[in-house]
Amino acid sequence: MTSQMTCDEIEQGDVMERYLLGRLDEASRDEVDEHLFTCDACFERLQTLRALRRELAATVGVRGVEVVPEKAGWIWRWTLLPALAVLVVAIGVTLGPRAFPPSGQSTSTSPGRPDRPAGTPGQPSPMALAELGKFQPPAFAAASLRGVPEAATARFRDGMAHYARGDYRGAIAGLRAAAALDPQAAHATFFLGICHVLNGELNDGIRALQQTIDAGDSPYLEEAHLYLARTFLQNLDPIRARQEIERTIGLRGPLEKDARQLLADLDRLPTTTP
Amino acid sequence: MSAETFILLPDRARLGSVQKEKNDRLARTVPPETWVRSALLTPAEQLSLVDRIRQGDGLAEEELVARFSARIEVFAAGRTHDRELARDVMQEVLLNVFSALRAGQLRDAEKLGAFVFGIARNVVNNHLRSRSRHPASEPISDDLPAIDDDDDLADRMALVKRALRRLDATDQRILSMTLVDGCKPGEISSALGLSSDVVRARKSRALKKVTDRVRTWLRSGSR
Repeated sequence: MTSQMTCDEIEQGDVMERYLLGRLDEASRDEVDEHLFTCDACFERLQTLRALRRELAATVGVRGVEVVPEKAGWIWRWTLLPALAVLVVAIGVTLGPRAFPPSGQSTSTSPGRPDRPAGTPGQPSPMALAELGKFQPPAFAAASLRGVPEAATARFRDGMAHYARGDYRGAIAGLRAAAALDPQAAHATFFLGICHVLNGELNDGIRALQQTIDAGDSPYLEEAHLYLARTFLQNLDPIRARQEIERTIGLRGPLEKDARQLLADLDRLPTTTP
Repeated sequence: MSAETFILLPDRARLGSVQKEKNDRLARTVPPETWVRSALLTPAEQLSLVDRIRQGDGLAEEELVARFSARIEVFAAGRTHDRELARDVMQEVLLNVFSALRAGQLRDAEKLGAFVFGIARNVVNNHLRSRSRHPASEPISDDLPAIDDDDDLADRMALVKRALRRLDATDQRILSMTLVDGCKPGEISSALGLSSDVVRARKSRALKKVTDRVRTWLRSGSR
């Protein structure tokens, strides 16, 4: 039997990376191998690195080119904007300012209520704002079960089973329960917010997305800012939407490009005339 | 053959939500109060598992397979660089392990992992000798059925993809040059116009981000 490396020894330096690349001497490799037979955490890390290398290799043909952004599905809406703009201007000219109700009448008073209603002179028209704010549900697929789920995870999975079928109303109960059991669970509050918005409950959606952001750094932080921006647009609140877009840009993450595009689209929206 | 591993094991308080038959079986076979995160098995669990295998308990054998098959296959693939052979080796090692355990050849049952590793190493070396090949230190292959056929790795691939998209383009490139091209920080620094220290730091942070995110998402059951 060889002597084993410890987790700390493997963490230090680039032992796992060198192991993966075949750059360890035989004795060290044996030590790592034996350790992997007795440690779940290190074996899991190795499996992730193997998967990572495979994924990187799949994109190696485009090395130096950024990996395709996750939210490419939003692009289709931008292509509709010119046509929409023409339509909105035509309606505005034909019917005048009374064509659209003030934003305060279209939604209940809430944390999402606009500070400065859209549709006023110099502001984008409500229809264009709402259209710009629409989004498709972010992708989600359940992973296979590993071990027994804790209560919050079990409820989250219940909710996401509805979500996967497009039943956003049905998903809310499970996601709300998961978020109540673990308020710091960003994945639960994020998808809860998304489901509320897709179900037309904008103010509840705003609260849940804000809760995701308040939870601090998480895999959902950047998305939460951008989806919150879109929700504010749907809620006819371009000022707060703009703030969230700028926060998304400030994170300098992979959604920065989407956020900049959204900001540009917002700036290009036709405004109502006095 | 299932290669599922139980990455996150629950404590007793969480057992009320056990639904899956597989987990029910695991709950019966492993005392829940001793379940811990990350550790493979506690000494008591190893003793119990070995004992039950000696008594011919099929569930105990399944548990051993679930815990070690992926490890054996990855190890064998790394040494032989032959995906078919790695799978054959995995089967052979498991048969040898069962046979040895039933024969009472494991004297210190608390060292089950090391025992399985020892058998795996012997089997691999025998194969390499028979093919007049010596174990070479070459990159661990990831072109394996273990990725394609294993639910765990299929899930992990999806999560890795997502985590990768959250890195900026420079970090992605540093990881690609490191893990795919095998470049060292000095080589990457020349190509990207960064200092070696910056490359090293960014690589380390990016790897940690990916592995931490994947672990978090696996725990949440999302991808």
